[in-house]
Amino acid sequence: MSTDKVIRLHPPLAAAELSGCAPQPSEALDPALQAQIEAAVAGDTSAAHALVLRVLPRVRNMIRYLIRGDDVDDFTQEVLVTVLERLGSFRAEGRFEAWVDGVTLRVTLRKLSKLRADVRRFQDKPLDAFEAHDSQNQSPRYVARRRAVAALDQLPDAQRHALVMHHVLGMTVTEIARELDTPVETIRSRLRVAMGQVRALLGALREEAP
Amino acid sequence: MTHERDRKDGLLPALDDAPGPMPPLSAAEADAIAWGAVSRWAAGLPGVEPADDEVGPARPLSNEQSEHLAQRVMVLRAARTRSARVPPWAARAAAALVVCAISGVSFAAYRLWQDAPPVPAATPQPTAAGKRPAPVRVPPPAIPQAPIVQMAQDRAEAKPPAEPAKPRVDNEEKLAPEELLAHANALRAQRRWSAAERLYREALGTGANAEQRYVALVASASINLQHLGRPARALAGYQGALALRPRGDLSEEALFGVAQCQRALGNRDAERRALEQLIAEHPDSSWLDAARRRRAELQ
Repeated sequence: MSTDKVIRLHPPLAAAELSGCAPQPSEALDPALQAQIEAAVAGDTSAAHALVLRVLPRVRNMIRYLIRGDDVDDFTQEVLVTVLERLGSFRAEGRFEAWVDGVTLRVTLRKLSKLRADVRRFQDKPLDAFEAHDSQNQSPRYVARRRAVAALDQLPDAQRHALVMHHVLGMTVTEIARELDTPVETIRSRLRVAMGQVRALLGALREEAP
Repeated sequence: MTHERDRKDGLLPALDDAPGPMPPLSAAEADAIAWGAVSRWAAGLPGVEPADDEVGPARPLSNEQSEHLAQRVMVLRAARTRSARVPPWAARAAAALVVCAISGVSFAAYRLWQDAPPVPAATPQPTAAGKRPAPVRVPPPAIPQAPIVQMAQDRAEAKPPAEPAKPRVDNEEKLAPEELLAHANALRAQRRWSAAERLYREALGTGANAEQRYVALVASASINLQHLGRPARALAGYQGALALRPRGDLSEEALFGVAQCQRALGNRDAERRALEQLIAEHPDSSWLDAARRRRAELQ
Protein backbone atom coordinates (compact mmCIF):
# COMPACT_ATOMS: atom_id res chain seq x y z
CA MET A 1 0.00 0.00 0.00
CA SER A 2 1.32 3.39 -0.83
CA THR A 3 1.29 6.00 1.85
CA ASP A 4 -0.47 8.22 -0.64
CA LYS A 5 -3.53 6.29 0.30
CA VAL A 6 -5.33 8.04 3.10
CA ILE A 7 -4.89 6.03 6.23
CA ARG A 8 -8.10 5.91 8.14
CA LEU A 9 -7.51 5.80 11.84
CA HIS A 10 -10.11 4.37 14.08
CA PRO A 11 -11.93 6.90 16.21
CA PRO A 12 -11.60 7.99 18.87
CA LEU A 13 -8.01 8.91 18.20
CA ALA A 14 -7.28 10.70 21.40
CA ALA A 15 -8.22 9.36 24.80
CA ALA A 16 -7.81 5.75 25.77
CA GLU A 17 -6.71 4.44 22.38
CA LEU A 18 -3.56 6.47 22.57
CA SER A 19 -2.54 4.79 25.77
CA GLY A 20 -0.03 2.72 23.84
CA CYS A 21 0.19 0.67 20.67
CA ALA A 22 1.08 -2.59 22.30
CA PRO A 23 -0.16 -4.03 25.53
CA GLN A 24 2.17 -2.72 28.14
CA PRO A 25 2.66 -4.09 31.62
CA SER A 26 1.00 -1.81 34.06
CA GLU A 27 3.54 -0.12 36.22
CA ALA A 28 3.29 2.81 38.54
CA LEU A 29 4.03 6.10 36.87
CA ASP A 30 7.05 7.90 38.23
CA PRO A 31 5.61 10.56 40.58
CA ALA A 32 7.99 13.19 39.23
CA LEU A 33 6.89 12.43 35.68
CA GLN A 34 3.26 12.52 36.72
CA ALA A 35 3.78 15.91 38.34
CA GLN A 36 5.45 17.17 35.17
CA ILE A 37 2.55 15.96 33.04
CA GLU A 38 -0.02 17.54 35.31
CA ALA A 39 1.87 20.83 35.32
CA ALA A 40 2.18 20.79 31.54
CA VAL A 41 -1.53 20.05 31.15
CA ALA A 42 -2.18 23.07 33.36
CA GLY A 43 -0.14 25.21 30.93
CA ASP A 44 3.28 25.27 32.59
CA THR A 45 5.71 25.79 29.70
CA SER A 46 8.77 24.80 31.74
CA ALA A 47 7.20 21.44 32.54
CA ALA A 48 6.19 21.05 28.91
CA HIS A 49 9.74 21.82 27.85
CA ALA A 50 11.14 19.23 30.26
CA LEU A 51 8.70 16.62 28.97
CA VAL A 52 9.57 17.35 25.38
CA LEU A 53 13.27 17.05 26.10
CA ARG A 54 12.62 13.72 27.77
CA VAL A 55 10.89 12.15 24.77
CA LEU A 56 12.76 13.96 22.00
CA PRO A 57 15.42 11.30 21.22
CA ARG A 58 12.86 8.53 21.22
CA VAL A 59 10.49 10.42 18.95
CA ARG A 60 13.25 11.23 16.46
CA ASN A 61 14.42 7.62 16.38
CA MET A 62 10.90 6.35 15.90
CA ILE A 63 10.21 8.76 13.04
CA ARG A 64 13.47 7.81 11.36
CA TYR A 65 12.41 4.18 11.49
CA LEU A 66 9.22 5.14 9.69
CA ILE A 67 10.46 7.58 7.05
CA ARG A 68 13.49 8.19 4.88
CA GLY A 69 14.85 11.55 3.93
CA ASP A 70 15.55 14.67 5.84
CA ASP A 71 12.09 15.54 7.08
CA VAL A 72 12.65 13.92 10.45
CA ASP A 73 13.00 17.16 12.36
CA ASP A 74 9.87 18.63 10.77
CA PHE A 75 7.89 15.52 11.65
CA THR A 76 9.38 15.68 15.13
CA GLN A 77 8.02 19.18 15.63
CA GLU A 78 4.54 18.08 14.59
CA VAL A 79 4.64 15.06 16.87
CA LEU A 80 5.88 17.04 19.86
CA VAL A 81 3.19 19.67 19.46
CA THR A 82 0.57 16.92 19.20
CA VAL A 83 1.96 15.19 22.29
CA LEU A 84 1.58 18.41 24.24
CA GLU A 85 -1.90 19.08 22.87
CA ARG A 86 -3.13 15.60 23.80
CA LEU A 87 -1.31 15.29 27.05
CA GLY A 88 -4.58 15.61 28.93
CA SER A 89 -5.78 12.35 27.40
CA PHE A 90 -2.86 10.32 28.74
CA ARG A 91 -3.95 7.81 31.36
CA ALA A 92 -1.41 6.75 33.91
CA GLU A 93 -2.23 3.03 33.52
CA GLY A 94 0.21 2.65 30.62
CA ARG A 95 3.78 3.70 30.09
CA PHE A 96 4.22 7.30 29.04
CA GLU A 97 6.79 6.34 26.39
CA ALA A 98 4.38 3.83 24.84
CA TRP A 99 1.71 6.50 24.67
CA VAL A 100 4.17 8.84 22.97
CA ASP A 101 5.05 6.05 20.52
CA GLY A 102 1.38 5.75 19.61
CA VAL A 103 1.05 9.48 19.00
CA THR A 104 4.27 9.47 16.99
CA LEU A 105 3.07 6.63 14.79
CA ARG A 106 -0.31 8.16 14.05
CA VAL A 107 0.92 11.68 13.44
CA THR A 108 3.72 10.43 11.19
CA LEU A 109 1.47 8.22 9.09
CA ARG A 110 -1.13 10.93 8.78
CA LYS A 111 1.42 13.54 7.78
CA LEU A 112 2.98 11.18 5.25
CA SER A 113 -0.38 10.56 3.64
CA LYS A 114 -0.85 14.29 3.18
CA LEU A 115 2.43 14.93 1.45
CA ARG A 116 2.10 15.39 -2.26
CA ALA A 117 4.10 13.04 -4.42
CA ASP A 118 5.91 15.83 -6.21
CA VAL A 119 7.17 17.18 -2.92
CA ARG A 120 7.98 13.80 -1.44
CA ARG A 121 10.57 13.18 -4.10
CA PHE A 122 12.93 15.35 -2.11
CA GLN A 123 12.75 12.84 0.71
CA ASP A 124 14.51 10.17 -1.24
CA LYS A 125 17.92 11.69 -0.90
CA PRO A 126 20.35 10.62 1.79
CA LEU A 127 20.28 12.38 5.09
CA ASP A 128 23.42 14.47 5.20
CA ALA A 129 23.24 15.26 8.89
CA PHE A 130 22.88 11.57 9.61
CA GLU A 131 25.92 10.69 7.54
CA ALA A 132 27.94 13.50 9.04
CA HIS A 133 27.51 12.14 12.53
CA ASP A 134 28.45 8.60 11.67
CA SER A 135 32.12 9.12 12.11
CA GLN A 136 31.52 10.64 15.53
CA ASN A 137 29.46 7.84 16.94
CA GLN A 138 30.54 4.35 16.14
CA SER A 139 29.16 2.43 19.08
CA PRO A 140 28.04 -1.08 18.05
CA ARG A 141 24.46 -0.28 18.97
CA TYR A 142 24.47 2.84 16.85
CA VAL A 143 26.02 1.00 13.92
CA ALA A 144 23.41 -1.76 14.23
CA ARG A 145 20.59 0.76 14.12
CA ARG A 146 22.13 2.59 11.23
CA ARG A 147 22.29 -0.68 9.31
CA ALA A 148 18.72 -1.50 10.23
CA VAL A 149 17.41 1.80 9.00
CA ALA A 150 19.51 1.57 5.84
CA ALA A 151 17.77 -1.73 5.13
CA LEU A 152 14.37 -0.24 5.95
CA ASP A 153 15.04 2.56 3.50
CA GLN A 154 15.04 -0.03 0.71
CA LEU A 155 11.53 -1.26 1.48
CA PRO A 156 8.24 0.06 0.12
CA ASP A 157 6.49 2.26 2.68
CA ALA A 158 3.70 -0.20 3.37
CA GLN A 159 6.10 -3.03 4.21
CA ARG A 160 8.32 -0.72 6.17
CA HIS A 161 5.50 0.56 8.34
CA ALA A 162 4.17 -2.91 9.04
CA LEU A 163 7.64 -4.07 9.99
CA VAL A 164 8.32 -1.17 12.33
CA MET A 165 4.91 -1.47 13.96
CA HIS A 166 5.41 -5.17 14.58
CA HIS A 167 9.09 -5.50 15.38
CA VAL A 168 9.91 -2.15 16.92
CA LEU A 169 6.65 -1.21 18.58
CA GLY A 170 5.59 -4.77 19.34
CA MET A 171 2.11 -4.45 17.87
CA THR A 172 0.29 -7.65 16.95
CA VAL A 173 -0.74 -8.37 13.38
CA THR A 174 -4.35 -7.77 14.31
CA GLU A 175 -3.55 -4.40 15.84
CA ILE A 176 -1.58 -3.35 12.76
CA ALA A 177 -4.40 -4.47 10.47
CA ARG A 178 -6.86 -2.45 12.48
CA GLU A 179 -4.58 0.57 12.64
CA LEU A 180 -3.97 0.62 8.89
CA ASP A 181 -7.48 -0.54 7.96
CA THR A 182 -5.95 -3.41 5.99
CA PRO A 183 -6.78 -7.14 5.98
CA VAL A 184 -4.87 -9.26 8.46
CA GLU A 185 -3.57 -11.56 5.74
CA THR A 186 -2.19 -8.60 3.83
CA ILE A 187 -0.28 -7.51 6.90
CA ARG A 188 1.08 -11.02 7.41
CA SER A 189 2.19 -11.12 3.82
CA ARG A 190 3.88 -7.73 4.06
CA LEU A 191 5.69 -8.79 7.20
CA ARG A 192 6.86 -12.03 5.63
CA VAL A 193 8.14 -10.39 2.45
CA ALA A 194 9.67 -7.43 4.26
CA MET A 195 11.47 -9.54 6.81
CA GLY A 196 12.98 -11.67 4.08
CA GLN A 197 14.25 -8.56 2.33
CA VAL A 198 15.61 -7.05 5.52
CA ARG A 199 17.49 -10.24 6.37
CA ALA A 200 19.06 -10.27 2.93
CA LEU A 201 19.88 -6.57 3.02
CA LEU A 202 21.36 -6.72 6.50
CA GLY A 203 23.46 -9.68 5.48
CA ALA A 204 24.77 -7.72 2.51
CA LEU A 205 25.44 -4.65 4.64
CA ARG A 206 27.37 -6.72 7.17
CA GLU A 207 29.50 -8.16 4.41
CA GLU A 208 30.20 -4.68 3.05
CA ALA A 209 31.25 -3.37 6.46
CA PRO A 210 35.02 -3.15 7.01
CA MET B 1 7.21 -18.23 15.29
CA THR B 2 9.18 -16.39 12.65
CA HIS B 3 8.56 -12.94 14.05
CA GLU B 4 9.57 -14.02 17.54
CA ARG B 5 12.78 -15.42 16.13
CA ASP B 6 13.44 -12.17 14.25
CA ARG B 7 12.95 -10.20 17.40
CA LYS B 8 15.35 -12.44 19.26
CA ASP B 9 17.83 -12.13 16.39
CA GLY B 10 17.82 -8.40 16.96
CA LEU B 11 17.41 -7.67 13.27
CA LEU B 12 15.45 -4.55 14.13
CA PRO B 13 16.73 -2.95 17.32
CA ALA B 14 14.15 -1.92 19.87
CA LEU B 15 13.25 1.68 20.40
CA ASP B 16 14.79 3.60 23.27
CA ASP B 17 16.39 6.94 24.01
CA ALA B 18 19.91 5.96 22.93
CA PRO B 19 21.37 7.44 19.74
CA GLY B 20 20.45 5.61 16.58
CA PRO B 21 19.16 5.53 14.02
CA MET B 22 19.12 9.29 14.39
CA PRO B 23 22.38 10.92 15.45
CA PRO B 24 22.46 12.52 18.87
CA LEU B 25 21.58 16.17 19.23
CA SER B 26 23.70 18.67 21.07
CA ALA B 27 22.11 20.16 24.17
CA ALA B 28 21.59 23.46 22.34
CA GLU B 29 19.95 21.75 19.36
CA ALA B 30 17.64 19.69 21.58
CA ASP B 31 16.77 22.79 23.57
CA ALA B 32 15.93 24.77 20.44
CA ILE B 33 13.70 22.01 19.05
CA ALA B 34 11.96 21.59 22.40
CA TRP B 35 11.30 25.30 22.78
CA GLY B 36 10.08 25.44 19.19
CA ALA B 37 7.46 22.79 19.95
CA VAL B 38 6.51 24.34 23.28
CA SER B 39 6.03 27.78 21.77
CA ARG B 40 3.83 26.38 19.00
CA TRP B 41 1.82 24.49 21.57
CA ALA B 42 1.60 27.50 23.87
CA ALA B 43 0.37 29.65 21.00
CA GLY B 44 -2.74 27.50 20.91
CA LEU B 45 -3.47 27.83 24.59
CA PRO B 46 -6.37 30.02 25.74
CA GLY B 47 -5.47 33.61 26.37
CA VAL B 48 -3.40 34.01 23.23
CA GLU B 49 -4.66 36.69 20.88
CA PRO B 50 -5.84 35.53 17.46
CA ALA B 51 -3.63 36.24 14.49
CA ASP B 52 -4.10 39.57 12.79
CA ASP B 53 -2.09 41.99 10.69
CA GLU B 54 -0.45 43.70 13.64
CA VAL B 55 3.16 43.16 14.62
CA GLY B 56 3.91 39.89 16.42
CA PRO B 57 4.43 37.13 17.16
CA ALA B 58 6.51 37.06 13.95
CA ARG B 59 9.28 39.62 13.77
CA PRO B 60 8.26 42.83 12.06
CA LEU B 61 9.49 43.59 8.56
CA SER B 62 10.46 47.03 7.36
CA ASN B 63 8.69 48.45 4.32
CA GLU B 64 11.77 47.85 2.19
CA GLN B 65 11.98 44.25 3.35
CA SER B 66 8.30 43.64 2.68
CA GLU B 67 8.63 45.15 -0.77
CA HIS B 68 11.75 43.16 -1.50
CA LEU B 69 10.19 39.90 -0.41
CA ALA B 70 7.04 40.61 -2.39
CA GLN B 71 9.08 41.37 -5.50
CA ARG B 72 11.09 38.22 -4.99
CA VAL B 73 7.92 36.15 -4.70
CA MET B 74 6.54 37.71 -7.89
CA VAL B 75 9.76 37.02 -9.80
CA LEU B 76 9.93 33.43 -8.61
CA ARG B 77 6.25 32.88 -9.28
CA ALA B 78 6.61 34.26 -12.78
CA ALA B 79 9.57 31.98 -13.41
CA ARG B 80 7.65 29.01 -12.11
CA THR B 81 4.56 29.79 -14.15
CA ARG B 82 6.63 30.27 -17.29
CA SER B 83 8.43 26.99 -16.81
CA ALA B 84 5.20 25.12 -16.09
CA ARG B 85 3.30 26.48 -19.11
CA VAL B 86 3.30 24.59 -22.43
CA PRO B 87 5.12 26.82 -24.93
CA PRO B 88 2.69 28.47 -27.38
CA TRP B 89 4.67 27.29 -30.45
CA ALA B 90 4.36 23.70 -29.29
CA ALA B 91 0.62 24.03 -28.75
CA ARG B 92 0.16 25.61 -32.20
CA ALA B 93 2.28 22.93 -33.89
CA ALA B 94 0.38 20.14 -32.14
CA ALA B 95 -2.98 21.62 -33.16
CA ALA B 96 -1.84 22.03 -36.77
CA LEU B 97 -0.57 18.47 -36.79
CA VAL B 98 -3.89 17.10 -35.59
CA VAL B 99 -5.94 19.17 -38.07
CA CYS B 100 -3.68 18.24 -40.96
CA ALA B 101 -3.67 14.57 -40.09
CA ILE B 102 -7.45 14.55 -40.13
CA SER B 103 -7.44 16.39 -43.48
CA GLY B 104 -4.91 13.94 -44.91
CA VAL B 105 -6.90 10.90 -43.90
CA SER B 106 -10.08 12.45 -45.31
CA PHE B 107 -8.28 13.31 -48.55
CA ALA B 108 -6.95 9.78 -48.89
CA ALA B 109 -10.35 8.29 -48.22
CA TYR B 110 -11.87 10.56 -50.86
CA ARG B 111 -9.24 9.56 -53.45
CA LEU B 112 -9.75 5.92 -52.64
CA TRP B 113 -13.45 6.27 -53.13
CA GLN B 114 -12.90 8.06 -56.50
CA ASP B 115 -10.39 5.49 -57.83
CA ALA B 116 -12.37 2.45 -56.80
CA PRO B 117 -14.10 0.47 -59.66
CA PRO B 118 -17.83 0.70 -59.75
CA VAL B 119 -19.52 -1.85 -57.62
CA PRO B 120 -21.42 -4.40 -59.75
CA ALA B 121 -25.07 -4.20 -59.24
CA ALA B 122 -25.70 -7.92 -59.47
CA THR B 123 -24.43 -10.37 -56.89
CA PRO B 124 -22.18 -13.16 -58.23
CA GLN B 125 -24.05 -16.18 -59.42
CA PRO B 126 -23.27 -19.50 -57.92
CA THR B 127 -21.05 -21.69 -60.08
CA ALA B 128 -22.05 -24.95 -61.49
CA ALA B 129 -20.66 -26.66 -58.48
CA GLY B 130 -22.97 -24.57 -56.42
CA LYS B 131 -20.19 -22.67 -54.73
CA ARG B 132 -19.57 -19.00 -54.69
CA PRO B 133 -16.27 -17.89 -56.24
CA ALA B 134 -13.57 -16.99 -53.83
CA PRO B 135 -13.64 -13.27 -53.12
CA VAL B 136 -10.89 -11.30 -54.80
CA ARG B 137 -8.77 -9.53 -52.30
CA VAL B 138 -8.04 -6.01 -53.40
CA PRO B 139 -4.83 -4.77 -51.88
CA PRO B 140 -5.47 -1.58 -49.96
CA PRO B 141 -4.08 1.39 -51.82
CA ALA B 142 -1.24 3.25 -50.16
CA ILE B 143 -2.53 6.32 -48.46
CA PRO B 144 -0.86 9.27 -50.13
CA GLN B 145 1.24 11.50 -47.99
CA ALA B 146 -0.60 14.64 -47.18
CA PRO B 147 1.83 17.38 -48.10
CA ILE B 148 0.21 19.81 -45.79
CA VAL B 149 1.07 17.55 -42.84
CA GLN B 150 4.66 17.36 -43.94
CA MET B 151 4.77 21.11 -44.24
CA ALA B 152 3.46 21.50 -40.76
CA GLN B 153 6.06 19.07 -39.45
CA ASP B 154 8.80 20.84 -41.34
CA ARG B 155 7.64 24.13 -39.95
CA ALA B 156 7.66 22.75 -36.45
CA GLU B 157 11.15 21.32 -36.88
CA ALA B 158 12.57 24.31 -38.65
CA LYS B 159 11.28 26.86 -36.24
CA PRO B 160 13.54 27.20 -33.22
CA PRO B 161 11.70 27.08 -29.94
CA ALA B 162 10.85 30.53 -28.73
CA GLU B 163 10.87 29.42 -25.12
CA PRO B 164 12.60 26.58 -23.29
CA ALA B 165 10.68 23.35 -23.01
CA LYS B 166 9.01 22.52 -19.75
CA PRO B 167 11.66 21.03 -17.48
CA ARG B 168 11.22 17.49 -16.32
CA VAL B 169 10.89 17.05 -12.60
CA ASP B 170 12.36 13.64 -12.04
CA ASN B 171 14.94 12.90 -9.43
CA GLU B 172 17.85 12.74 -11.81
CA GLU B 173 17.59 16.12 -13.45
CA LYS B 174 19.13 19.17 -11.86
CA LEU B 175 16.67 21.96 -11.41
CA ALA B 176 17.50 25.54 -12.20
CA PRO B 177 18.25 27.81 -9.23
CA GLU B 178 15.00 29.74 -9.59
CA GLU B 179 13.04 26.49 -9.63
CA LEU B 180 14.84 25.24 -6.57
CA LEU B 181 14.11 28.51 -4.81
CA ALA B 182 10.46 28.30 -5.81
CA HIS B 183 10.24 24.74 -4.50
CA ALA B 184 12.02 25.78 -1.32
CA ASN B 185 9.55 28.61 -0.81
CA ALA B 186 6.67 26.18 -1.29
CA LEU B 187 8.14 23.79 1.24
CA ARG B 188 8.71 26.66 3.63
CA ALA B 189 5.08 27.67 3.30
CA GLN B 190 4.17 24.11 4.25
CA ARG B 191 6.41 24.45 7.32
CA ARG B 192 8.67 21.69 6.04
CA TRP B 193 11.71 23.43 7.34
CA SER B 194 14.37 20.77 6.81
CA ALA B 195 13.42 20.08 3.23
CA ALA B 196 13.13 23.80 2.47
CA GLU B 197 16.49 24.53 4.03
CA ARG B 198 18.08 21.76 2.06
CA LEU B 199 16.75 23.13 -1.20
CA TYR B 200 17.97 26.62 -0.40
CA ARG B 201 21.40 25.09 0.09
CA GLU B 202 21.10 23.13 -3.13
CA ALA B 203 20.26 26.35 -4.94
CA LEU B 204 23.59 27.77 -3.78
CA GLY B 205 25.47 25.06 -5.63
CA THR B 206 23.64 25.17 -8.95
CA GLY B 207 25.13 28.19 -10.64
CA ALA B 208 22.84 30.63 -8.91
CA ASN B 209 23.59 34.28 -9.54
CA ALA B 210 24.62 36.62 -6.75
CA GLU B 211 21.08 37.79 -6.05
CA GLN B 212 19.77 34.23 -5.82
CA ARG B 213 22.66 33.16 -3.60
CA TYR B 214 22.06 36.13 -1.35
CA VAL B 215 18.37 35.33 -0.90
CA ALA B 216 19.07 31.60 -0.45
CA LEU B 217 21.74 32.25 2.19
CA VAL B 218 19.48 34.44 4.30
CA ALA B 219 16.47 32.16 3.92
CA SER B 220 18.49 29.07 4.80
CA ALA B 221 20.08 30.77 7.80
CA SER B 222 16.72 31.99 9.00
CA ILE B 223 15.27 28.47 8.95
CA ASN B 224 18.32 27.03 10.63
CA LEU B 225 18.11 29.56 13.41
CA GLN B 226 14.41 29.79 14.01
CA HIS B 227 13.19 26.29 13.29
CA LEU B 228 15.97 23.76 13.19
CA GLY B 229 18.00 24.78 16.22
CA ARG B 230 21.27 25.10 14.28
CA PRO B 231 22.70 28.46 15.30
CA ALA B 232 26.23 27.66 14.14
CA ARG B 233 25.08 26.79 10.64
CA ALA B 234 22.76 29.77 10.61
CA LEU B 235 25.61 32.06 11.61
CA ALA B 236 27.68 30.87 8.66
CA GLY B 237 24.75 31.61 6.33
CA TYR B 238 24.14 35.11 7.66
CA GLN B 239 27.84 35.92 7.55
CA GLY B 240 28.05 34.61 4.00
CA ALA B 241 25.16 36.83 2.97
CA LEU B 242 26.75 39.86 4.61
CA ALA B 243 30.05 39.13 2.90
CA LEU B 244 28.26 38.86 -0.43
CA ARG B 245 26.26 42.06 -0.01
CA PRO B 246 27.23 44.12 3.02
CA ARG B 247 24.56 46.71 2.21
CA GLY B 248 22.00 44.45 0.57
CA ASP B 249 18.26 44.58 1.01
CA LEU B 250 18.39 41.86 3.64
CA SER B 251 21.43 43.08 5.55
CA GLU B 252 19.26 44.22 8.46
CA GLU B 253 17.81 40.77 8.84
CA ALA B 254 21.25 39.21 8.41
CA LEU B 255 22.80 41.44 11.08
CA PHE B 256 20.03 40.78 13.54
CA GLY B 257 20.32 37.10 12.70
CA VAL B 258 24.04 37.18 13.44
CA ALA B 259 23.31 38.72 16.82
CA GLN B 260 20.71 36.05 17.59
CA CYS B 261 23.05 33.27 16.53
CA GLN B 262 25.84 34.62 18.70
CA ARG B 263 23.42 34.83 21.58
CA ALA B 264 22.37 31.20 21.06
CA LEU B 265 26.02 30.21 20.94
CA GLY B 266 26.82 32.14 24.11
CA ASN B 267 29.19 34.66 22.46
CA ARG B 268 28.17 37.83 24.24
CA ASP B 269 30.89 40.06 22.80
CA ALA B 270 30.20 39.03 19.24
CA GLU B 271 26.48 39.47 19.85
CA ARG B 272 27.04 42.99 21.16
CA ARG B 273 29.21 43.89 18.18
CA ALA B 274 26.54 42.67 15.76
CA LEU B 275 23.87 44.67 17.57
CA GLU B 276 26.02 47.79 17.51
CA GLN B 277 26.62 47.39 13.81
CA LEU B 278 22.90 47.01 13.23
CA ILE B 279 22.13 50.12 15.28
CA ALA B 280 24.81 52.16 13.53
CA GLU B 281 24.09 51.09 9.98
CA HIS B 282 20.30 50.85 10.14
CA PRO B 283 19.00 53.63 12.38
CA ASP B 284 15.50 53.21 10.98
CA SER B 285 15.43 49.45 11.42
CA SER B 286 12.32 47.83 12.74
CA TRP B 287 14.60 45.86 15.06
CA LEU B 288 16.19 48.99 16.48
CA ASP B 289 14.31 48.97 19.78
CA ALA B 290 14.93 45.28 20.34
CA ALA B 291 18.59 45.69 19.45
CA ARG B 292 19.01 48.63 21.86
CA ARG B 293 17.30 46.76 24.67
CA ARG B 294 19.46 43.72 24.20
CA ARG B 295 22.62 45.81 23.97
CA ALA B 296 21.71 47.48 27.24
CA GLU B 297 21.29 44.06 28.84
CA LEU B 298 24.69 43.02 27.60
CA GLN B 299 26.47 46.09 29.00
